[in-house]
Amino acid sequence: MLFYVFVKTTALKKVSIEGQYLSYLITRAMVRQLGLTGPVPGIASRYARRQLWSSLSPLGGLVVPGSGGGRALLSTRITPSQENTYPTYEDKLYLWGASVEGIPFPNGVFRRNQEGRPGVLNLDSLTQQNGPVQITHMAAGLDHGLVAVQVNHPGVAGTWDEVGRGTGEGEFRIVSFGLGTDGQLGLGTALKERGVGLVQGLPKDKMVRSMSGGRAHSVIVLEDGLAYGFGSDRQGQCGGGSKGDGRVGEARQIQGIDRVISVACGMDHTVFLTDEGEVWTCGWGADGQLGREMRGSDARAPQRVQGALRDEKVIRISSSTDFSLALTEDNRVYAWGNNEYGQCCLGYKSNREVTAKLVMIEDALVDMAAGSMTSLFLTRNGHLWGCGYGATGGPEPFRSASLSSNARIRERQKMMVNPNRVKGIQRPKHLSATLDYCGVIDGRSGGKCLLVNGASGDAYGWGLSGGSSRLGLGHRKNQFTAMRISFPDERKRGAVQELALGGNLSMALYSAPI
Amino acid sequence: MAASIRQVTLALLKPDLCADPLRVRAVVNILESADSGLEILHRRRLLWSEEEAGHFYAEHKGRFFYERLVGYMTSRAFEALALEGPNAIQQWRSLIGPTQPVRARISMPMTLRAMYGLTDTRNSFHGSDSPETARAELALFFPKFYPGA
Repeated sequence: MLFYVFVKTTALKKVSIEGQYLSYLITRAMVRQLGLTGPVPGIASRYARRQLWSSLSPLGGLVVPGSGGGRALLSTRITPSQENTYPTYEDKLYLWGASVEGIPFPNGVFRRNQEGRPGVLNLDSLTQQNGPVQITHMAAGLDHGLVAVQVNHPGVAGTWDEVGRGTGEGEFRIVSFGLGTDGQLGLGTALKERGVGLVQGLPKDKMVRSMSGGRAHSVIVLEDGLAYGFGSDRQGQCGGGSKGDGRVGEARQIQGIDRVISVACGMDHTVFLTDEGEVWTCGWGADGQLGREMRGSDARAPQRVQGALRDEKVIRISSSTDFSLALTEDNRVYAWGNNEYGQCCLGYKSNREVTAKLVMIEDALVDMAAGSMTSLFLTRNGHLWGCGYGATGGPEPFRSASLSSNARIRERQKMMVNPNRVKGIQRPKHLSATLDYCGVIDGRSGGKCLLVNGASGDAYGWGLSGGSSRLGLGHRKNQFTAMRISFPDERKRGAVQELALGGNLSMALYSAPI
Repeated sequence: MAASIRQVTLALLKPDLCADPLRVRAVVNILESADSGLEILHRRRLLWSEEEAGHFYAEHKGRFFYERLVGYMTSRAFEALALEGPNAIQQWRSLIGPTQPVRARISMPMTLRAMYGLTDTRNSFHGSDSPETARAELALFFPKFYPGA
């Protein structure tokens, strides 16, 4: 049996072993290489996961990590003679949010949940091919969503070559939906309203490595390390070079950067991480979003951040509004950008932090998420911390019962420049944050769940609703403490694999036994 | 009594809101409903250059948030409205709510900024704050109807 593990996609580990030692050796190898300390964003394909499960389950449940920086692709080559005698799983994509209203999904594609909870989104009929698709990545912007799928996949015999590229039998598409008035759906032109379709202008034979959505733009990184942008480029968030109205209608390569392993879009800027651990930025920088001194407020080409972060090897980045976070390989986090609510976690408020500074949590950190006025941090020993605007920092349970309503409002509007423990989630695994909205996957379900990529289990959300059902919690109120997000199909004991939270549009990938 | 004074005020639906026609429609519906107490007299769509935005925000030049204001207001087309009604200036300002959307979402959740505002910078709405500024701003956006002093 051949077993491929793609680590950061550039460093391919190939192991050829027989029998049950496989899982043990792979696990050990991965533990050594990656430290196995943190949650890992990433989705293995349904096919790969099923095969992986069948290969590894003789030794029981197993956490399979991906790379620290980019998303990992797990793929297997299984000989046709091998029987699959272990449980198989089905992925379901769930969608919710205020911006879902008005998206012209064809009949049968989206089953809206009337209570404002997540509804099932079935992309099979949208990808212009027959048969089911495999979801490899997903991302959410303020009002739009992106889902990368593999179509015409190779099947059990496997056709991956050694550099991890499909050999022609696998093709890749990105389905986009939501608001498209700035071209952020990449359908070829900017729309007048909401839409749904396939992103145009990308090579079909290359797999997605990372995707992210901003307020009105989208950036895709393919397996060859090149980045493509579409949507608003008015401030250079798509790498600049746009003429006319500053909008890019279909995917266009961002010049001046390569070897990218991961991308994170803020509202109007873009952060790139390269395979050497360097952080690059472009777009709007009026609040210090770009992590470097600059002339004017926009940067129309990616450049490296300045300051102390240049000496660090970064393995993960996060951004969703006007500040950004970077996790280094030695488990520290840097922050820069808007700090008016103390969200950079530096122990003080400031108008902006133009270059990156170390956050004031001393414990080793393994994950982090940058929301709008709030940041979240996960320590190696499993503690979850929030910093910034009180209401979305998920601090100690509010003493709401004992407070007058004015005092309660003041309490909830407090800014927390020092980190506060977020409680109510037993084993936080994978953090997400966006505009006034935080989400955490809880990995406590243990062996009963399919634990792929180290992040699966229940998902919890909290934040401000803006009077809409965008939090997906079945109500339109603000939610001040972590609350479990309920999925219509959950009685099957499945697990949330990944969350993609956008301001008004969010998604979850949920796996349940067939 | 002040309640009966008919005023005209200047309202802006800023670029992030105008990026979504559904949100613009929702706001216009609220304005057109009887209980808003306001009437839309004029409506105009504009796209500002940096010079034009700089002129409007000239008083803030040199402040740390000046570039935010200019960058935000030039990021896309937006709409200017002339609104009339009893106490229109105060009425529109109470409909849009506190300056910071994140604070509004907690303290005044039924206001427009609580529902549609994004961040402190991208707060989606503007309203003149006094009869004097209303006159000046109306003259700037609707010179044909309000020639100014």
